[in-house]
Amino acid sequence: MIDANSIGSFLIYSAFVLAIFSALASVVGKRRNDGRLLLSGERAGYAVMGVMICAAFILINAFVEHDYANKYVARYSDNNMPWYYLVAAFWGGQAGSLMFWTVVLGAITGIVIWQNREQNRDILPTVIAVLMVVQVFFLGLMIFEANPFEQFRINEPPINGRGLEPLLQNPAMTFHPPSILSGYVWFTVPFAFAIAALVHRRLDAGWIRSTRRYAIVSWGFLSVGNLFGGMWAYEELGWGGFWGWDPVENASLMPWFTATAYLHSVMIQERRGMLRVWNFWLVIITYFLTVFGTFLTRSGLIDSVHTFAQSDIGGYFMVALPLLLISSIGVLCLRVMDGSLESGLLGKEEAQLEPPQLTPAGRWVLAAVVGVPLVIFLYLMVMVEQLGSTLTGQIALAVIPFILVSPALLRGLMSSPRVRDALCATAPYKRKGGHVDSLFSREGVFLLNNFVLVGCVGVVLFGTLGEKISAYFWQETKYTAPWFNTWMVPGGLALLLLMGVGPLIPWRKTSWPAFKKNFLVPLVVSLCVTAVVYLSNVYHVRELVAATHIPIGEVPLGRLLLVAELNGVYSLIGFAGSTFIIYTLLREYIRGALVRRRRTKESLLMAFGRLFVKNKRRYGGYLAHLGFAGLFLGFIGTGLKTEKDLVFNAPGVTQNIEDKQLTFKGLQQTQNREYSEWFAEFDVHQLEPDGSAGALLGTLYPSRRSYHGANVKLSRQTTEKDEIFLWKGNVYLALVSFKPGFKTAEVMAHYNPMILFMWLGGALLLFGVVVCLWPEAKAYPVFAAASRRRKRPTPEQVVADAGALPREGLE
Amino acid sequence: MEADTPKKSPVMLIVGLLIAVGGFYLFMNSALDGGTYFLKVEEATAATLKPGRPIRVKGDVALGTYRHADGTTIHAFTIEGGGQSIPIYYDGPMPDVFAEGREVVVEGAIREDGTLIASEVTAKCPSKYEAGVSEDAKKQLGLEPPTKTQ
Repeated sequence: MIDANSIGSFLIYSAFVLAIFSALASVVGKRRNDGRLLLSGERAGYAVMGVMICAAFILINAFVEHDYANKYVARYSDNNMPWYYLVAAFWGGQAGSLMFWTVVLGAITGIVIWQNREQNRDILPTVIAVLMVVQVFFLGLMIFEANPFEQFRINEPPINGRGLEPLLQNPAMTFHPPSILSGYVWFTVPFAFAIAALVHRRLDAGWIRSTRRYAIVSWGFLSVGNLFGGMWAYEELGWGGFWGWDPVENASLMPWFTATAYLHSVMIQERRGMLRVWNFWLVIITYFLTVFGTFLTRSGLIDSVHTFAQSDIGGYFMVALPLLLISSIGVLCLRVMDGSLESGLLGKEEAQLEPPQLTPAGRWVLAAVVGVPLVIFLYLMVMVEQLGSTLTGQIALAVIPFILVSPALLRGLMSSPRVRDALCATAPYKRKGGHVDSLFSREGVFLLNNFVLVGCVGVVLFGTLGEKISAYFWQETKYTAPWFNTWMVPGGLALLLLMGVGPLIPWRKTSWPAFKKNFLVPLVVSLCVTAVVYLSNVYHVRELVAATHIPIGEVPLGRLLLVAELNGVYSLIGFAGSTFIIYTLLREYIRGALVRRRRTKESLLMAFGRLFVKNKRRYGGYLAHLGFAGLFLGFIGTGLKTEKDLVFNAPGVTQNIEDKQLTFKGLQQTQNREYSEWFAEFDVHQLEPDGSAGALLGTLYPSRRSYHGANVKLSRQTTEKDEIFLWKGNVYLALVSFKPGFKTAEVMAHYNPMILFMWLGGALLLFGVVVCLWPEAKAYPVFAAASRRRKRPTPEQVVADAGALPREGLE
Repeated sequence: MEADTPKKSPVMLIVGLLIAVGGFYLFMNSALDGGTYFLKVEEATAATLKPGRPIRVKGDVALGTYRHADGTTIHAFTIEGGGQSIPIYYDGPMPDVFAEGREVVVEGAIREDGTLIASEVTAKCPSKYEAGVSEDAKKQLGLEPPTKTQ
């Protein structure tokens, strides 16, 4: 019998075959310079897109139509769910998440092929091949492990499904997984271009320019996804905070750090032509971390709040991850060794030179760099049973750092002329690109920011895997939030300060007068604001600073950071940094608008708006920075928050938190088809200095829900918080327990300073990303070409193009 | 990354190296010494731990040792395993599934007299929930009433 699910399965199988064909056709076509094969590889790419989009619609339709013959639909939805959660149930489970990944990747592949039908022709086949290999991997996972179209092998399907986990039925959670996944998937494009650029020695900044938007989209999705994840934790998990350093939160944060580093360091390459190896390395690591993040979420290697997602696809990743890392780092090593990356640009004259050759010794070295880790990993995979998990883990963890630093080590080796001549047979290229002349220059600051970001990744990676690492090497230890904070708070503050300095400092080097002109006033302003914060003791900052205790001499040096109570000092630094950023960026906007008004005689408002149109990347980037200043105010607020466990014994009882008074009004119950819910009602009043209750600020209804569906796996009871948003700080109530008969309630009350700025900052950041991405009508040859409506390229043209030098777009 | 900068001053290189080595030293120290140790009862009694060092001990609640004063949140019991035992004092909400004879995980610090002051007690419950959900996850997901949030 033909039904929708069989068609869905068929589509996935066809996409799998098409993707394999597309990858093979592109590689073989490129090898043989066969235009017809190349073209059919591209078309197979389009076909994958079409097929996957159709499959997606079939799955969505199955959810909306309650087709419980489909196991996945029956598992993750039920008759009572509203339509938006039905659609969101698409990515509620593993099979659907994988499907979402493949659909997005399919769509992006189509966009990439279409965008590059007139540019980057010579590297496009390899790009397609890389994209398709990734696609094949994920489609394979779906086919062999988690097919969302799998059906029950019985005649009668269930009449109702098991429903979506109640905790996931939250608006933030609707957007969190697709944002993170999209972030991961979009980064496949910069990765694929990087690999293609390395393979074909197109090592100028062309691949960076061609994929900048993809990287920004990916970064935007990752940022927003992490924020939604935090919002979910804040609302549903009862953490009262938005970040608990949970392993899976960390998994999506790590690629964000390296992607941020990448977005900044490519500016140096575009501007000054340096840091080429570093940028390739960052792309490879970022992509590795995205796949690694998927693995962490799905494999259940580490306990986390996401364990409901765990399954047995971990084994596939255990094979894929080392292969991905070793092969991509291997190509990078090859280009480091043959000297191509020294020159970095394949200008016309260099393209004519014969390609560099390694000496036999060089080949051996490369084979060792790539082959030894590969052999070790293959050995581990085969022998894991005999060796035991501890020894396997020890060996694997010992090998990975060597893979990561191998490009840098080789680079160091190659800088000696004797080693170079021994390893590389062709004459050295002329070195191109500048140097960091001074630390007090924009490139110097960017480089520092890169180091801090990569350091942050190191810390987070260690802490996330620490449970395993410590168990393998010393004593099983769990690293929790306090440990992370001791490293990440100073790291974050360092980033904040660098973010303030970066946009102000000139390229190459800064002179004392320029420094005075740019920095003196903002420095004074931010210090003044900080002094006001300190003196007015707002949020008890002064008391916290006074309580600062650095126990030098009392504890060993290494534990110093862990016990130092620096909260007050940290928040002062944070205030200074955020003010500095906000002040300087607003000054940049106003200055820019004023200059523009003088030049163009526009009105000030018009000039201000046009700034964004004319220099999207710069002013959009500033918006993202402003958003970050807001986020940091929220982070500082977390360090300053107060929380109290309050018990209300009867209606009318009042309790205070900070300068707010809570009055318990009573309990109410509501019911609906899915759950019954008990609300506690509280009036929130401003507390006047004399202790009397002032203006009514609002009424809060924190509640507890009891779900009664068959679905409920983790949580029959959920705590639904309620809060009042105020500029100074939110009052957040979570109902811990209640006794309807006695009319008593116990709440966990939080006073969360400045958390509102965090959400506003997040929105501003997103707006900044949109500004950066807004298309520029003229600058993009794609659009010009599309408007000319040229003929589709013939196979002959494709052949001609494939061997040709870079054209527009890559000048 | 610019390995062959022509006029690289050795001072900067040395300063950079010092920072790197110092940072690595601090980091490894905090990695080895920070965090919460996972221990079994016999390991916890055998180990020489600094007072105040956070640990997490897994063991069975010894029969007949649980004491609790009504109207307070103070609990006392002993956990045992591997022939050793540790007395526990705990002030806070007890998980519903806590019972003598059950396996519990106690988080806290051992005092010099060998007793453990717990900040958190989690109990393994008979498989009421699907397998594959860790105790940690359940607690964070609010299966037990939220206690002190961190």
